Amino acid sequence: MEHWKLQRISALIMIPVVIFSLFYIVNITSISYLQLIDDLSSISGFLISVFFISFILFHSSLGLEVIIEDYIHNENLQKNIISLSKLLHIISFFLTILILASI
Amino acid sequence: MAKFTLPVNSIVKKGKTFSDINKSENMLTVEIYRYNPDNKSNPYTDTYLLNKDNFGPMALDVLIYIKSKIDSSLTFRRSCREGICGSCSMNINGTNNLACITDISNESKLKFYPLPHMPVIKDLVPDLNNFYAQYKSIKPWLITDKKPEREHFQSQEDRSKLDGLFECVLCACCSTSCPSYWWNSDKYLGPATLMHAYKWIIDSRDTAKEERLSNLADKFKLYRCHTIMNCTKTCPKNLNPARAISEIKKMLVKA
Repeated sequence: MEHWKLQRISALIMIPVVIFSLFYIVNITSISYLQLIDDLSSISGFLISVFFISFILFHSSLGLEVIIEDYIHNENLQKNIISLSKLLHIISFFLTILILASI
Repeated sequence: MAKFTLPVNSIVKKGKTFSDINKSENMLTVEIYRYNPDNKSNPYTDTYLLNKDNFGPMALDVLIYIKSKIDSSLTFRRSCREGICGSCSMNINGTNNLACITDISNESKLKFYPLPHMPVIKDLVPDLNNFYAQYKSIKPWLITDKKPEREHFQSQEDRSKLDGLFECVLCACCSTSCPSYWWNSDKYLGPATLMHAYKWIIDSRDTAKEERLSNLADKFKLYRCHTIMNCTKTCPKNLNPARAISEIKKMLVKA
């Protein structure tokens, strides 16, 4: 039940963040390259990006877990693939932070 | 693992063609899935060319005509002929339905298959043992610690909450149309059973609401429902099992 609730909560939180990001991406041609770098390297830009990526990866991890449970019936294999999926999501999270911090 | 190809012995082959007409404007071509475990051969589809003037307007009339006039070995379940018993559930032209209430008067081609993704006993008869065991697991009877002198009374308002739920005849059309049930029918209870569970949960005469809810709070029994809605789309009685399942989920969030 917690899993189901967390999936819905993370989806709801992503709605405003996705809308904001879409507007930003649509208007990306109207800002200069340097302005874009400034936006992403500022503290607010960094925090928004980390917030966005965190929830996307968290939501994606929960969703993939359900899909794996649906289609892989061998319990050991299922557990191993879910662990691998979670590990890849955690690595992706830290890689993203590293990339954003290096801008 | 999910299987993406059929085992060799379950590939459906082409069977015989039977015709009881010469030339008719009112011709109906009927394709029927046939399988006999005694023959130890692959399933096959027989084709029947029929004159629609020879039988009634429902899909079950076609099957009864074929069984009585052309091929007595054709096997299917049927009983009430009026959509009450749920026996004649099968896949007709790609959609699960009750054969007795499926109007075929405007059809020129018909395909009959057993309910999808169920073990087949013979021809159009699926094995529903697991389906009934799941139904039994939700304790589909009144659980109450009250002992009234005569009967368990219920207000008209409380009784009306059961409308759209009690009409389910357990034909299994909804459960066998659900992809989640196809992949995990051993663990996921399926829409029909869950709708009956919801009916008992909201029944004002029943006092085991918490026990029933905690029995369903399982990531496989209930949460395999991914709101695909095939159940609601296919229900021959126009019920809404998907809504019942979402109501159970909401109750569990509040519990």
